[in-house]
Amino acid sequence: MSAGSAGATALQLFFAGVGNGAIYALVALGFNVIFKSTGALNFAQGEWVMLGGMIAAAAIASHAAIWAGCLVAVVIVAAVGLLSERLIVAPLKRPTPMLITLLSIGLAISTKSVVMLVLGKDPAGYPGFSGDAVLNVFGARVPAQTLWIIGITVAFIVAAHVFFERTILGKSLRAVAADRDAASLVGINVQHSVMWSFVIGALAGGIAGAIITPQTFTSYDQGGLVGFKGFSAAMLGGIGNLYGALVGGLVLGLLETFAAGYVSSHFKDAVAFIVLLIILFALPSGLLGRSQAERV
Amino acid sequence: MARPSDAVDPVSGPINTAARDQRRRALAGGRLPLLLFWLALLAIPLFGFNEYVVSLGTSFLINLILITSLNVLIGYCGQISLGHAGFYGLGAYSAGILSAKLGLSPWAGLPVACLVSAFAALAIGIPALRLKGHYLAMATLGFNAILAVLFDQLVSWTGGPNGLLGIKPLTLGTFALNSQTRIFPLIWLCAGLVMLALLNLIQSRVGRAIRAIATSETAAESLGIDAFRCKLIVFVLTAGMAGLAGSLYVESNLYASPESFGFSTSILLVAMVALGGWGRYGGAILGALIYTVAPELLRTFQDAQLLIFGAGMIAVLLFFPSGLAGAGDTVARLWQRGRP
Amino acid sequence: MTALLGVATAGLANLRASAADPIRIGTILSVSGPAAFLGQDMKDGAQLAVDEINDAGGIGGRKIEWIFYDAQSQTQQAIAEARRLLSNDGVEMIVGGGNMSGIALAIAPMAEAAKVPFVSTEGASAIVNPVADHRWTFKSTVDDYLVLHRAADYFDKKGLRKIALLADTSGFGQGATEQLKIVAKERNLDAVFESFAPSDTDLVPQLSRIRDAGAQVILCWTVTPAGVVFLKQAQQLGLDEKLTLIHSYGFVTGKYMELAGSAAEKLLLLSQKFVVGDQLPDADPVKPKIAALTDSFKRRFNRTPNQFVAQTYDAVYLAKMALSAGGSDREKVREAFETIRDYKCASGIFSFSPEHHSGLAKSNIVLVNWANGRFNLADYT
Repeated sequence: MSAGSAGATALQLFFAGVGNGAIYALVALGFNVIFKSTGALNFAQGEWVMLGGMIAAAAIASHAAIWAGCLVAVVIVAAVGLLSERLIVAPLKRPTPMLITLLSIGLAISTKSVVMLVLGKDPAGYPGFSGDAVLNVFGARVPAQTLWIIGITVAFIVAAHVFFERTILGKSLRAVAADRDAASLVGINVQHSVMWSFVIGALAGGIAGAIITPQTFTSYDQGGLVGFKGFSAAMLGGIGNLYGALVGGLVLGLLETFAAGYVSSHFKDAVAFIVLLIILFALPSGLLGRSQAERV
Repeated sequence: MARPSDAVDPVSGPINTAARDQRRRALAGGRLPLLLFWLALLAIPLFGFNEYVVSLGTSFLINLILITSLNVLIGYCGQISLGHAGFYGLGAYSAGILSAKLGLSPWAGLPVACLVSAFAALAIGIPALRLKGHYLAMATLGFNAILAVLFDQLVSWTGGPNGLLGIKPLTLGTFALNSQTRIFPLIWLCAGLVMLALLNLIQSRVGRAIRAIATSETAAESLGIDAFRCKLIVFVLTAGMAGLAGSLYVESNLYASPESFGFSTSILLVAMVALGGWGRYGGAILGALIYTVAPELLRTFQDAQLLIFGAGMIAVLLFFPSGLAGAGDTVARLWQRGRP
Repeated sequence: MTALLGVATAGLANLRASAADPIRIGTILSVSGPAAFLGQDMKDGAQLAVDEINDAGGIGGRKIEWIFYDAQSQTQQAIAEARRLLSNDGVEMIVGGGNMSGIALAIAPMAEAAKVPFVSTEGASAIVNPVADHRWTFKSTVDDYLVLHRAADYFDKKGLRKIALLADTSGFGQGATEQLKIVAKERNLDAVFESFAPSDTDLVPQLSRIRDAGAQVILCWTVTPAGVVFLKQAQQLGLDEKLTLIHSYGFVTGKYMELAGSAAEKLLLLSQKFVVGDQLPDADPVKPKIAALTDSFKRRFNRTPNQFVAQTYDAVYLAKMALSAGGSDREKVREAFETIRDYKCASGIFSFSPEHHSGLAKSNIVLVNWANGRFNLADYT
């Protein structure tokens, strides 16, 4: 195997890893936003990703244009996020993290089964935004969809940054995350902030689902695994940290793909979780997190 | 007037004192109801007319060990473990491999299963329990996921995705415990001992210590309680019990496959603890009952089964945050509030 | 009441049932969960066969009472259901092993212990081997071993020597991995092995390694959508130009071909003859059977059947043959199975013997491709 083709293979794996990593980053971002506002682990995050893909596929199968179908899916998933908050957080007199976490488990199970009943058990997919186009980048063959995924993810992260830094709503969300009582003392509607965090989380999930489905296809039971890998990415980057989500996602995606490519494809799924354990025990605050972990 | 119920724990939230006090009163006489209930369970093999019904009984008992131990961890200790099914699987495969691959007596499998799971919990617990709250949840989740991959991939040991076959049944001399009715007494005995042990634990000094930790770790520490040590003891103990459940499972089914021990099972177990009522001893029994019987009852609604489960769980948690076992309390409280 | 009746029927195994008593046949298939996509077809195929037999008067004057349970692609569930069938419902035969090899492997010992015949519709040869331990278990499908030999016949024809097997880590994929190691030695092939998890969504690492190893053929062995990802990514990497891509018989379904779109154009698939029934030479004895089943299925269920339908349909008819010969005596039914020879069905020609409990031979497999919205015969013998 010549050096040129070894380099081309490495580049090939690199692009694949970055593409997967971008999706993990989006999931981690959604997860982080909800964690910061409620302290809970949102188990429905992965199901929202699946929902984005399934709804887009259904819309496109009913002859919508690909862009339109994805847009519709994202809007619907954001609405589902909003409804979820109204259902499982708003009615609670004592919204403890543990209770919300448990409710999100029920939500995840329900979402998955509703999709199974309404949209069926068959796998679904649709062509990429640029069809089946493939670009040749120094010997590596990169599908155009991968570039779309990277681009849209970066755009979303930038938009999130602007939202949290520059807009009133974003800043109020950060205030609530920092100190709930103080925030409500200065007149911020805490309930509304939690609601918006759910919308943003669902938005991130829905977008992730819509853009990855042309490459991976989706079905009603595909949500769980991508959700958990997103959790790992969030922990890797530092839970609650916006840029941590991006870094964690990319690092995880690259680690996975290179491990599968150079070590063994048998244990690929385990990579995400081995990384998780190493981070938890060696660097609990993650790569970018400030020390969130309290030592007892 | 400051009330004890104003105390808030960052992880578990405010503790409902009324329920806790009632619990204490109930627990004082707790051993007698437990004994009666346990004797009543013997009706299953005596009057159950076929293997299938008895197998529901053995499943219930095994699930009870799992859910009660998890309940003690989550409810009394305030720690979420998402890896309980992983310890269950470790126990099952340890016992199974000992019998099927290494040819040892199946009886050796029972203690070995406990020990293997307990040691694994020690390895995970020492680093993870030093951190607060959700870190144990994520660590156990990761641990469970890795175990699932190992169960699947180490084909020469575990049989891979097709499962582990060739497990020898337990024997008493020449009498083989190879039917549900025959193995029921053993499982009944083991489960009973576990329930008794957990009851004793809750009421012991360690038990009081962990309940204090669940309410407020800082306050408990200020009283001289070594939170880390207590949490570790409970974590290791409950993992060992899950391991025991695994060995009993494998001996009654003579089969083990990776899909029963994945993180989705762990999540379902947590759901059952919540449904039944975490922090309530009786809640675990209710949770185990639901877990064992619901799939059978929902069989006719095959496709809608999952939905009924998920929606039901949300409904119970919304209206009865202390679980179904706490439903009586909630109703009583609401009724009390309504009176002038 | 039904439970008591079940117990009575189960307990009195040697008593001859009166002509009016129904024959209880139990079926366990997965119509939900990961294996669901072929479960529904298999269930309908069995349903059609049961209804046809009952309309024609049943077996020896006794109608079939058909009990169906959904295994939900979970072995634990299937074990509980098998136990229910054997002790609670008192079935005389079990047809269908959850459409997953792992489930069939778990049910077989239970059927052996209960001395109830079990007709498995799943693929792994380990289900019925060694025969001495599986006297009561029969398989109505082709062994992977033989399917791989059939593939090797094709490789010989085309002068292909270096084969890459890309199998998933399920029982189905792992079975093929074990068998190919044997077949490769026997047929002098140079095989490389890669694997992926059934839920995997990115196969670029595996494909890169296969490309770098210089393989001429990629044989993909899975029933999950990851097989579509394989096709798309192989196309993206340009592998479909230089290498021969082949999918296993578990992938022969239009849904997957349509999802794959242009990536399925150069694909070959190992398959039972069923999907190309109308393109078979007229001399093929299976051709009229396929036409007949297609016709009656369309009339009943309003859609075109696939080979999964045929699998269970034939399994029920095999059960009927054995039950007609053996009646209520289970041992006689079991022996009757072993005497079935050259029985022509829609899936192929079945022959069993005391040494061989796997019904179909290598000649029942062909290679097909996908064009013009349907499967077409690509290689007959």
